[in-house]
Amino acid sequence: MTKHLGKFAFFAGLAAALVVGWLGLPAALYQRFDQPLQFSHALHTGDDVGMACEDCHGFDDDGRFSGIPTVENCTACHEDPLGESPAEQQLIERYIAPGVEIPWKVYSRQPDNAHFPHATHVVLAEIACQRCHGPHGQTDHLRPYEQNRISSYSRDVWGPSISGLGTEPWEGMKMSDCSNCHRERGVVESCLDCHK
Amino acid sequence: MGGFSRRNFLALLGGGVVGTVASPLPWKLLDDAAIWTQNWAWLPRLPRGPLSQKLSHCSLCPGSCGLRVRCVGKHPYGVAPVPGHPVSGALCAAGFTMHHLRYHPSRLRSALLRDGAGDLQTVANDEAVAKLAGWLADAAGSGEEAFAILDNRPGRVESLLYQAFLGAMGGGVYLTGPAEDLGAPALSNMLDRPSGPLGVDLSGARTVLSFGAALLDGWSSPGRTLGLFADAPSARPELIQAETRPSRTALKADHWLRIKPGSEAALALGLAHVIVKEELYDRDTTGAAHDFSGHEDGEYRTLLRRFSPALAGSVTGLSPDEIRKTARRFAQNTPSVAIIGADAGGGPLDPAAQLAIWGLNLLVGSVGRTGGFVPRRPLPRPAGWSNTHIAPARKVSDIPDGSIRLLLVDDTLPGPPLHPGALDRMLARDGRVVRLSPYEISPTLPTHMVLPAPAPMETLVEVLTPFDAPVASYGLAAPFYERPAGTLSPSELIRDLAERGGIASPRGSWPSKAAHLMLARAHAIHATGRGHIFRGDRGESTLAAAFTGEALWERLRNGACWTDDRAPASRPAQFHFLGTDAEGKSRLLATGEAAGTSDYPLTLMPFAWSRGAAPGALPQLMSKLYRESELRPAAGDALINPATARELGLRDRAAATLETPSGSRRVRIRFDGAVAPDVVHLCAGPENGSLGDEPYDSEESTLALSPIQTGGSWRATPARIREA
Repeated sequence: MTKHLGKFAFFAGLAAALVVGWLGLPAALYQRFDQPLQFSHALHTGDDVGMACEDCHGFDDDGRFSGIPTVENCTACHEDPLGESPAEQQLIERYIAPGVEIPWKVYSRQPDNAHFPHATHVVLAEIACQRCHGPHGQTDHLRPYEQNRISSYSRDVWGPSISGLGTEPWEGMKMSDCSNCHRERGVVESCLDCHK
Repeated sequence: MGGFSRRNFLALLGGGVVGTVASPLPWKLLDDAAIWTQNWAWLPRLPRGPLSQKLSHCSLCPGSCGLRVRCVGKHPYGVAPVPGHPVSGALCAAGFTMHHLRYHPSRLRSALLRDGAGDLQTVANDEAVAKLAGWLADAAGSGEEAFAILDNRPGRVESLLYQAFLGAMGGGVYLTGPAEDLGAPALSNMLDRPSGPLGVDLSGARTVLSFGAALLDGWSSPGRTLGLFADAPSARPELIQAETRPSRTALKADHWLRIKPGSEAALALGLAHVIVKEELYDRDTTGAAHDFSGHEDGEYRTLLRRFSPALAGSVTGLSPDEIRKTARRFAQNTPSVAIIGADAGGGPLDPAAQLAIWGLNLLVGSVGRTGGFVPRRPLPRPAGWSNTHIAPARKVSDIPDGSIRLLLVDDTLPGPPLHPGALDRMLARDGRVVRLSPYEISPTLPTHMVLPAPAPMETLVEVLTPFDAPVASYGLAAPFYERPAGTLSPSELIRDLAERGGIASPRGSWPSKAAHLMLARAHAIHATGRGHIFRGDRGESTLAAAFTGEALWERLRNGACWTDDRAPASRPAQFHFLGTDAEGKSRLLATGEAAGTSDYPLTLMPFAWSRGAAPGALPQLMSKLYRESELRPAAGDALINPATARELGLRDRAAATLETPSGSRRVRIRFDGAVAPDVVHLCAGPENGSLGDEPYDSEESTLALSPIQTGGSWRATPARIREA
């Protein structure tokens, strides 16, 4: 035992550091926030309702991406309750009735120093929403929003894997992810395209 | 565990280190820490809001480039060119970042007054203007022409206000700064009858022979010249650059003639010699010359006979064969134009050289024809603002020595710097200089008071015809930011001084806003019934006559650009190749090489990027071009050939002292194999302070080393250098 104690100590240190780095770091690094309201994308885009992404996240008449829909969009359908879910009840009581905007925490919000034009990518390049947002439109509930305690960025910018190496193309919205996609498509890029 | 030795503990630590490196912990924390430093709370951030694009124009130089200003809400966050803009559809590096200028570290928000100890101290604006009014009354009372206003951007409605104010005062002098031009004074010295403004039709030319004009580095309108020469060689003019310095234009030109310092006139005369000898000249044009073959016994021909390719070659450093080939190319691949280029740091070409270059243009008939120099109608003035009751424009060189007791310099818009020697010469011993500027002023410039002015994008500014444009144009640079309280526009300053001095306007009252006069100018443009209105949002031009005067004004305020119709071209009537004054002839006859002396064996040639030597500020981001990347030489960088440097015992990037008979300054050596032997190119701008890097305190004057020579040029000065 004494003979192998050195090796044991080395691997114990190795294992402890790996556990801290791979498991402890993500837990400590990201602060979790619940969304102010639960929302089922699956219900809205499913066969019963049959909405598409652009019905709520569309483009204005002048071509500008509308982003997260305002409560006015919700009011169009939910001014009166359509069902009996607690989430809809909250929507009406807390937001629609008093006319208050829902303080959504936006998973894919880019930092202030990056400018991402949806119109260029969705309309001109005809890139599907799922390319960057994955199956978000089919989710039944909103997962907690995770914010990096140091950079204050959303975890979705880095991607779910702490290694930064995603298995799906939509895992990660870093500058390198943008560049990779541009290179794959042969699109010329320059600093000022995104950093104005 | 009694066997857990120190060695085992180190093994545990070693495993921990290996495990840490193999985990994302250090790398992720490094990445996040880097991002954290970019998002400190005190860094300014754009507000969130709807994105929009507004059309405007750049006012940083007279290039009149169109702008697409990207805004979040009302706040600009990006600037881009306007494709298809009739004057300039591209931007220079300063234009792309001009929205940063509001936040420049040297931004001035209150007046500065020099105290008894020689330091500039902050004072209340009202106090400063009251003091200026007192100085003005003193200067006006001390005699005629003791007060002058120097306008760096003549032709604006503010310029008319200055002229009217000086006219109403009586005895005031209106001076125009050393703006870039096509060498028009030299041409007017040659013509019997004065010509109106001329532009150059570069797009119609097949050969462009440029004598130092920075055609590929911001000359005139970057969009027009860069766009033209970016085309494939078959679809653009052939560019021949005659210049001593390995400038960007020289290095990118189709042919670079690396001539010796000060040998432009000899080259032009040598080329003319070949053109005349081989009878390649335009007979229609030369037939109108008094001194070519007719009335004055061919004095010009006599001069040209001296400048054989062999002599011109020995003066310029080119081979006689190269001179012959260039002359043939220039005369046969027509239309061709020879362009005169002033350097922002090196100043204008010698008048003799300008005369000789215009002679080349006249020889090949490129004056008054498509693809050459074409007449341009002047921009209409507001109704009621004719030449009566206004002080005429004069050049600094026309002012008697030591006559100006008070000089007000309008630095609100950047312009080429006035040589400090020119300023010193005309100022009286107790003369004072007051500047109206959005930024602090370099301590190398004489200044007794600075009044804070609005910065670019804070006020409505006229954007006038570029100096080389073939047709007149007019646009407006719109305000995007609120002006800081306390800043004074030129019109407000004039109105304030007039009220304090009891100076009545011959037109009833002094306008409180320049916009009133701009509106009047828009109506005057409309009254001509000529031209087109270009709208950048649609990328199309429509006839200006289709709009009412009010509608035209609204279009202009929203970023549209008016361009005039082409004026009918005609060849010059009667002219003298050698100019009409005896001085011009004698200068041409004395043309030769600027040589060093035994005490000063080198030739100093200052230079600067056209936007870089102005006394104002450059966008801070441009510091990356000068300080961080060193892509461009900055003030104090001395370019020298490595062989010359080694002979003098100089090392690359070492500090050195450069001396001329006028003084000395510290420089930083930069080796450049393309620099001619025995020549030092010293960068005159931008200074550190104008890039927002450091305060202005440590600046040393560059141009003071190069005194103004006969003819008003300071391009080549004998110099010596030693390592510091």
